[in-house]
Parts: sequence; C-alpha cells; structure tokens
Amino acid sequence: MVRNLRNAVALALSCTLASNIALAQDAASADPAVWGPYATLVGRTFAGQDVSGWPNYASKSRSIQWEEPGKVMVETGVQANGGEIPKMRILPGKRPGELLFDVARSPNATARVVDARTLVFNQMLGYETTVSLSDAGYDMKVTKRGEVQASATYRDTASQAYAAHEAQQTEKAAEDKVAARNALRAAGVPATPAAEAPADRVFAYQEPVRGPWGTLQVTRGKAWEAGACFAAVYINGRWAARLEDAETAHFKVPAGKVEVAVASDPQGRGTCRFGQSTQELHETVLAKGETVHVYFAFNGGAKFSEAVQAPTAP
Amino acid sequence: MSLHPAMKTGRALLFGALLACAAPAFAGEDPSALPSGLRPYYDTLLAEGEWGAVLNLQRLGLEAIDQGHLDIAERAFDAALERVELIYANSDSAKKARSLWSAEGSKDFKGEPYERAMTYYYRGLLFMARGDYENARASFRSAEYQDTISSNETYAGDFGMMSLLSGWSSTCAGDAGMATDFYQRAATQQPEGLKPPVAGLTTLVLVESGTSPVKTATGSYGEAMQLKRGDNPFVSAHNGAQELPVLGDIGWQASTLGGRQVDAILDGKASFRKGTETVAGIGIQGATVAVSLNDGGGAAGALAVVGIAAVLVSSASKPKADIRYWDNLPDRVYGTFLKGGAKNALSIAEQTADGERYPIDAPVIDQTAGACRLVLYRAREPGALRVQAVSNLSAGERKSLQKRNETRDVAFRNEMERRFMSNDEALAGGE
Repeated sequence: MVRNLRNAVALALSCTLASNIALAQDAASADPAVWGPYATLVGRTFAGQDVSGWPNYASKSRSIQWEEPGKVMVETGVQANGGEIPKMRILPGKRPGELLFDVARSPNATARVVDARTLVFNQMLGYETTVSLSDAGYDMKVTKRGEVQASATYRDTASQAYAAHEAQQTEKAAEDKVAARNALRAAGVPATPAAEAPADRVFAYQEPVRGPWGTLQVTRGKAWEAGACFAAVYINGRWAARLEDAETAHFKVPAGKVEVAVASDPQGRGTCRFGQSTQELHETVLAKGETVHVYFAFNGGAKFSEAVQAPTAP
Repeated sequence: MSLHPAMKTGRALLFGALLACAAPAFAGEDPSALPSGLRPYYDTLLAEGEWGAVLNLQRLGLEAIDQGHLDIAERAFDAALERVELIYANSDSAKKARSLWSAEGSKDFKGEPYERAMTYYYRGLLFMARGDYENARASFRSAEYQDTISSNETYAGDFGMMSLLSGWSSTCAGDAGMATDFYQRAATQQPEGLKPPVAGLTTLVLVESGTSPVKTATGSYGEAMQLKRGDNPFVSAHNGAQELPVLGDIGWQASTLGGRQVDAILDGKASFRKGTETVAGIGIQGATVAVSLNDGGGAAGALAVVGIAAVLVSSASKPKADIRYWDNLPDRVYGTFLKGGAKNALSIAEQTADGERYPIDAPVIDQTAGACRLVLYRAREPGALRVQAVSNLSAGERKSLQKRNETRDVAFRNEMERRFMSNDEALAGGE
C-alpha cells in the first residue's frame, strides 16, 4: 500500500517535471528575437475570422507546431473553403531577424521580425503581409501602398475569448435564421395555380403522425429551367414526392425543425438522373397545428419562398 | 444456418403445440385466408417477386404484429430469414454465396446490417412470446451477428440490445450461466452499456418509438446510398413515473458500422466512370458558360451535345444505389424488466422535449409463456403503412426487371401461397 502510494507520488512528480521541462523548452527554444510573434504562437491552434476586405481571406483554422524543437516550426490549417492551406515550414533565415517560410508547392517567402509581437513579410507584387499578436491570438493584414486590402483575426481555440466568440456566433446565427425566415414569410409565396400531385408520386408523410404535428404544403413553381424532369422533394431526408412544374403536395410532418430539400429525380433516366448529390436545402419550422407552404422554382438553382397559412387543429 | 439447431425441429413441434394450446394472439385465424388488413401487403409481395421479397416480408411481418396476427408474422419473418441466410449466414457456404452475389450485382433486396438484425430481433420476440427461449436466444445472437457484416467486410459487434435479449432469453430458459455471459457482453456495448435485470424479475417491457432510418441516393448519378436517422418527436418513454432506458438506437445502428459513422455506401466501378464523368462535367460547364455569355448559340449547341452525350453514357453505366428501406421499423427501442405475477397494468407513454406525454394504450404483444412475460408496445397505427415500399426504379426499369424474373417469380408465388394460404404446417413453418 505504502509502496503503491510512493510510486504514484513519484509518477505524479515525474509527469509535472516532464511538462515543466516541455514548457521550459518551448519558452527557451523559441527566442522572440529569432522567431518574433511565432515564439508566442507555437504549440497553439487558432480559428480565423475575416475583419475587413477580401472575403474568405481568413483561414478557418491555423496550427503552429514544432517540427524540430528549437529549429523548425510547421504551420498547417484549413482554408475558408474547406481545402488545406499549403504546409509551411518556418525556420530562421540567412540573416538575423529574418524568418524563412518554406511553402509546399509554392514559392518561398521571407519575413522580417520587427519585435516580439510583430512580423512583416517581404512585399510580393506590392502587397505586404503583417502578423501581430493580439490579446486572443494574433491578427493578419495585407496592405498595398499603405492601404489595408484585407485583415483577419485569429483566436486561440483553447482561449476563453474563442469560447465566448463561438457562443455569441451561435446565438447570432440562430437570430439571423429567425429573422430571415420571418422576412421570407412576410414576402409570402407567388399566387400561381398548381395542381395536386397524383398519389402515386407522393411517397411519405401521408400517415397519421404520433405526437405534435403540422401540415407542410410543398409546391413546385413553373420555370423554364429543368422543366422536363421531375424534381425529387425530400422532407427530413426522406424522399417524399416527385413533382412536375406547377404541382403541389401536402404532408403531415412532426412539428419542429423541418428540412425540405429538392434534387434531381432518383427515378429519372439520362440527364434527369444527373446531380442527385446536390440537394438544395431549405430549413423551416413547423409549429403544432400550423400549415406552412414552401414554394420552390428552379431559376439558376432552386429558389425557395414560404408562407404560414391559417393554423389547423391536428 | 446460424440459428440454433433446435429451431428446425422446433418449428414442426411448435405448430402442433400451437394447435393444441395456442395463446390467443396466435389462434383464431383461418390459415387458408389472409386477414383483409394484410392482404394489400401480401399482394405487393406477390407482385414484386424475389426482387422485393425480403423487404416485403419484413414489412408484412411487422404489420402483422401491429395488426395482432403473430402467426402470420412468424411465417413472414421465417421466409425473409431463409433468404437472408442464403447470403449472410455465419457459414462458409454463405460466405461463398455472398461473394458471388456481390460480384453479380444482384438487385434482390437483402437489407443493410441493421435491417437484417431487426428481422432476427422480431423473430426472437415471436419465439419469446411462444416460450421458445432457446430459439429466441439463437435469433438475438444472429441479430448481433448480422449487424457486423456487410457485403464484403466484417465489423465489431455493437448492438448491445441483442446481447441483453440473448441474456434475458437464457434467464427465461433457466440457463443462468449463459445469461451472465450475455449480460456482461451487453454491459460493454452500445448504447453506453446496458444493465442486466435484477434477480426475481420476470416481465420484459419493450417500447418502440419513432420512425425508421431513411436511405437516400447520392453521388452525381444516384449511384451511392446514404443512411439517416428517421423522425422522432419524442425524447423519452415512461412507464408511469419511471423513465425507461434506451435499449436499442436503430437510427444510430443504421448510420454506423462497428461504431464508426458511415458517410455513403457505394457499389460502383469507379475507374471507368471517373474518366467519363470528367469529360461530361467539362462539356456541361462549358455549355452553361457559353449560353450565359450569349455567344450566338453555335458553340453552345456543339458543347451541349458533347456534354449531354457524355452524361448519358456515364449515367447509363452507373447502377443506381438501392434505396429501398424497411419503413415500419422504429427509431429507438426503450425497455425495462418488471416483476411478474398478475397481469399488472402498465401505463406507457412517450414524452416530447416540451414535456407533453402521448400514451400508448395497448401493447401489440402481451404473452406469458413459461417463466417469463413479454410486453411489446409499438405506436404505429395498424393499416397506415404504405402498401408498397418506395423504390428508385422507374416504371420501365421495373417492367423489364419483372420480365427478367418471370420464371423464378412463378415459383416464388407458389411458395408464398403455400406459406400463407395453406393449412400444411410443414409448409407454413417453412421446412
């Protein structure tokens, strides 16, 4: 028993010592005079956000780690479009106060350490990139002739600032969604005639629903594009109907969030079968007893509109 | 066959025993006539032949349970399982048949692992209702096995409910040692380990909630298939004040294999199609650009012809993914073990996230057999099931398929007539 306790204490001490050594090594080997702000950024992962200028200038994420402690760092990440950013090896340059960025499949870049908080890349075609530390992580900006072309901020994903920002973004996204839906509903649906789709082309949500439910009416408007093919209508992922131009169908759907998607026809042949992977999605909310009318028409892709109709008692 | 050897001989004996002392739910049927409520599903079974046999038998079997015709459910599930076992039994001959079946690209429905597992689950419950706990256990063990195999690969077993039910069958059969082994296994499996019943409990209550997982076609030509969880507006099930634990999460089982999330299931010949697809893609994009630039139509016309022709070649060469699915399955199975004795009243209800309760008035199975009682609640309205499962075959494709299968479907229909319309117990039992 005593021996076990002694072993446990020894293990705990050795773990503490090891982690302290690792921290000390990071701090000692990342000399700010050599690495500038990267001395602070190494060992951390950041989430980016556009601040101004070019859209999608900020990467979704960037991670800076040691490849060889004290000698080479490596920066990886994911772009806003989901693709990987080219892997960059970062090492001290030929001259003091210089960092070399060895970029995979791209020309290399050189940057000058201004101080422990700031790094400026050499100009490329007149554009100059600056990296500077911030409270939550770091900022990046591109200038041309002194004018800011684009700027982004990166927050440490382990920081409280990041957690708070994420929570705020989630809340804002929910509010935006409600506002967008209200605006869409206020605009209503086009008053164009539509025939009820025949029963053999309506596949789901015709049965009685157990629990709270509402009625969803889905109408395909008349449009020149893709008019020769049926459109598949999916409700909550379930293939619910095949609709022609100017056709409508009614569904009994569980209340709550409802996803209506349209895509090419799974029963289609030839070109009518093409493009089933690209379901165009419309999200709405159906309250208990409510009837919501979702209207779509193909016009450079599916364009959705919706309206709330008089509530019905389920 | 992966079922217990006693199953074969048991079927014939059971039928005799059934005639002598059948429980109410199994009796009172004129075996030469199908109940009118099941007739539309039976007609679909005959019309679709072997191509849809397993799916139509699964749907018919479960609808028969919902309508209270347990003997017909038994026949349907037996016929479905015979077809499943030809390909997916735990035997060398089935393994060989499976590899041939995959290579030939057979279109006959056999179901995804979760669907095959659930077929054994219902068969196991029907054995339980009759008090045949050894065959019930064999069925639940087969259910777990089915959840581990796809066409070409095997995965770790993670369907904890099947292990729990194997254990319960052993308890009811008086085999405490085997029961302990299964309970230990269930404690380490999804969802989050299942607790064994405490000693002295003799009633198993199962409550099925929500709607079945969904299959959709994906990929440019619908050649791949994706699985998604079905709708379920309820977040819990209760017996009076007691919240029931989730024993089986069918939505999760459908979308995972060996505990890993499945993105899409693709059965195609990628090397040929990739080349064709690239040409097609360029042609169509080019045509779109040319049309939008309004260049007079000449170049656009030529490009569109090239693009559409290539798409047609590419699409014709891609087999459609089979998106038929067993649509009267539940999303989740809740359950608990209770004390037996008198037919104590249960107060079962499902509850929404808002706290609103929806009671389920009566069970579809309530049978006491031997040492144990089984009570199964399902919330589907009998007779509301769509007569035909949804398929992505066009009318023309369906017609040519039926023509191709004409000869074997004559034999199939004869077999079904004997199974469902005959008094012959041996045929009815599928021997």
